Amino acid sequence: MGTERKRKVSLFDVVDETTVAAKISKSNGGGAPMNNNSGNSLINPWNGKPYSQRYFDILEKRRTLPVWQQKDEFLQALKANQTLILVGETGSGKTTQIPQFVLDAIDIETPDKRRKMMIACTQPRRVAAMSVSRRVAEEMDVTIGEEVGYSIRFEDCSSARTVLKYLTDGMLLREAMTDPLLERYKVIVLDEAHERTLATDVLFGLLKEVLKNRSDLKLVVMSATLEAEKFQGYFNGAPLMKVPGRLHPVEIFYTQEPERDYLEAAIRTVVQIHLCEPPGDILVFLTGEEEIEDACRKINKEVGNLGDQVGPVKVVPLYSSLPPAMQQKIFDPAPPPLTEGGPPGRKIVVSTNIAETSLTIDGIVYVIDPGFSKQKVYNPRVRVESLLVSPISKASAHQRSGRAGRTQPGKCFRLYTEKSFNTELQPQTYPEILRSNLANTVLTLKKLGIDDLVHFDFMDPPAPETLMRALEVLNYLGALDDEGNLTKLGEIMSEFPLDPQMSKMLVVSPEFNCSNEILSISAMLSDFCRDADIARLHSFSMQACKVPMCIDGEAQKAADEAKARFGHIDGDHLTLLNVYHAYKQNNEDQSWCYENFINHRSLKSADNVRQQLVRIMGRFNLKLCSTDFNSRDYYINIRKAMLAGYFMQVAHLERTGHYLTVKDNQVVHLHPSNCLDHKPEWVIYNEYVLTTRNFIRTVTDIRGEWLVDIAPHYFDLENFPQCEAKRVLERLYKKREKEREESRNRK
Amino acid sequence: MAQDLEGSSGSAAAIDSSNIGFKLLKKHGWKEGTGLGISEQDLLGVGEGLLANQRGRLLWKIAVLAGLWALWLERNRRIFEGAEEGLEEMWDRGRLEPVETYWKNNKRGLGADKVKKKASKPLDAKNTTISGGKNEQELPSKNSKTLSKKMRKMQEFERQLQEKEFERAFFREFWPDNV
Repeated sequence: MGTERKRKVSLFDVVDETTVAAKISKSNGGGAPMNNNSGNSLINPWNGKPYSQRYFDILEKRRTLPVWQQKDEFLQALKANQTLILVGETGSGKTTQIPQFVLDAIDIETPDKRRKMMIACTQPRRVAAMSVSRRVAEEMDVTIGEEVGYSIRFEDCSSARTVLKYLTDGMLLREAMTDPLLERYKVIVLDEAHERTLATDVLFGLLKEVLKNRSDLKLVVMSATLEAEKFQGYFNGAPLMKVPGRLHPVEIFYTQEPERDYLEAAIRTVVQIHLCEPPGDILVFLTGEEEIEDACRKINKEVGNLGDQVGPVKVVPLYSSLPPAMQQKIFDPAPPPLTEGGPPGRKIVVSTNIAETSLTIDGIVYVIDPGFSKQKVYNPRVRVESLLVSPISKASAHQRSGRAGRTQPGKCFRLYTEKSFNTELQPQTYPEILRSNLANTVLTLKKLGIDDLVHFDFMDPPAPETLMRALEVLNYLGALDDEGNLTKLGEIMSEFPLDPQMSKMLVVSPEFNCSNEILSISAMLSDFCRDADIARLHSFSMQACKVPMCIDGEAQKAADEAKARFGHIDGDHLTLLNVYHAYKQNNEDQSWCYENFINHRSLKSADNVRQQLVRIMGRFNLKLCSTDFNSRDYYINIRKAMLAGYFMQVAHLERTGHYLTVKDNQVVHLHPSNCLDHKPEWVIYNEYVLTTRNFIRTVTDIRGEWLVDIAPHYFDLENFPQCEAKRVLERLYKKREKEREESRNRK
Repeated sequence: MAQDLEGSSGSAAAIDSSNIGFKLLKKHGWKEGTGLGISEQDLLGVGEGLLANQRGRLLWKIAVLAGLWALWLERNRRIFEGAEEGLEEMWDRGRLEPVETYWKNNKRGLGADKVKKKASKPLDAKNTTISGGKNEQELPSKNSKTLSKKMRKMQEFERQLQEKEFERAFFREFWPDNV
């Protein structure tokens, strides 16, 4: 069915190589008047050392990047305006070059000689911030972490000498919490603004305010898509500059009929391309880790079945939870032909939409786009945030096809009809702010001193209900008082780069005499959550058991083994704690981890997270303490402290045998990965997984009495839907009342 | 139980006014039926603060003019440049309802759901004519799977009737009364 495809004319302009070359030589020959550092000098002005040969080699290559043609134009526009919008397709070199241009042209000296003003460049992804800053440090011939640095959550690689800092958008927002006018910065570059992450959107509104108060600050907004006009409108008509990407024409093919199974269709298309098309690597977009691994196996099998008549293939998966060493494999060259002069080999990259904009793989000539991706969604009415497979947008489809034209003219196979493209895809992906739980954002905004949330200058204002939920959660947690003002507790909570629930649990843990253990649990949980900022695009479905384990092992077997070794019958949180303790007792040994089906890398990073959290605890004089391990209260205290943060994520076992979330009355099931040996009456859960069956994952047994003791304001019966849980709670309240009376009588 | 079903269907009711979050948002200056963001402030905050002083009134006038001007520009753009999109965008500012999504539990490609429905219709039609003609044996087994349970039951009944046709005819012929 899919063999006949309709031809479409390319959407992209053909780049004429000769004119580009001419322009480049002209702009380089003309020299940049404002450029006072680079060029003829042999001494690196940043560290006073002579430039290495490598610097000049790289400089030669840098000069061929499309942005260099417009260097002068850009710098003039920057000089004349406070805000500037720059549109450039991926591959124009804007992320690495623009901040350097700015650095060369802007005066960053301060009256204090030892300290210089900085230039910030934000990235939506941690991986990008790290890798781009490394590259730029190389280009500037300086050591990473010195003049050029990066800052991501739980990792700061910069120093007092840093003048150019790449950081995640979330980090810049955090910095604004302590430095509201961002006075350390002279220029702020918001890169990949088209991705419209939650943090970028908040930064938009915030920076608009800051710019009004700081006339010396400049803002450059960089975007890769056509939505730039919208940015222009938002930033009061700031000038727009376009940088051409280096793109070759891409032919687009649609299927004539809709596909019954897009995964099967994608595999079939890969095989067809391999059989019939000239050499060139293939990029396949799929939705998640499981699907990608599945597809990789099937492609290998299918191509293997074809025998020696076709060239060898190298199938490489790519998703964010893959270890960096494995991710690097996407840059390996295609395999050589099996025999001299035999059919050429081909590299096949199967990726989530991480390869859509943020990662650039050269050599891709064919793109297969089934039209789906995993997207985060949040429904404030049922209070569930989840990653769901949804159709992509037209803008996304455009980006995907563009990946085929990086090195030579390419082809993009869309596994849907042209009619579907026109009628079923929305023009743009909904910005994250419309699809997220805003509790954390509201806490941040409050800390930033923005009290008028209703009239905050959102580029795309979220639904009022989303904000209601956020305010509700923060009020129940005690971070906001009944007037909506930030409390002392809320202020401390906002300092933790974690979910409000988790921050609350940490802040109150000393009261339960178990802050050491809660710190470990938080670090272990956030080891997975920390990827959530990336994970909006990807799945972290692989963890059949939440116990971190080797990726290459057989997931289920490993999970069972690990469960048998570390499982705690009272809950998964306690199992995580067991794993952490065992890891520490075995001196963080890598081979021990391997033998015990534990992912060493994730435990190491959890340990690092824990250290950072300890530091924050110290800043607020929160005591580090533990209950005696032999005491009966050891685990009880831990469970109580967890409840103090997660009392809004409680499920009750109904007589019918299924769980119902308290207050929301959603039917849920314990995720099969749980370590419990029984079905407790009450559980707290860390995560609600939305699939055909609704699962709660990472659960721990708690007692009904604690609900009444710890969170009576939430389990307030007057404001409670009729259900079994309510009747049980009524009984518990009466029991408490009776006890109190008895003790009074005894006195 | 009805409550459960309602809840799990995913389209729960909107948050009502007794909710603390609702009250807090109102305390922040939100009015029911309006969206968030700066544009709403301009349009709807008129009655209270803005018109109170001279400067506010001037601002409001400018805002109205600016709005008209934007409309005019948009109109021109559409008429003279044939631009189509934009209407949704223009009114999309300040959304009132949360984004709705559904859980996709199959690997069906884009647009495939609709086609399946269309394809199943002629199948049904075919089926009825066939059963009318008492010719079920020719029905491919693959298709019968897609038929509804009820249909299959009816077919089964028809077949049984057909098999017994001879018996019945025999009966009629040789009923003791006729002998």
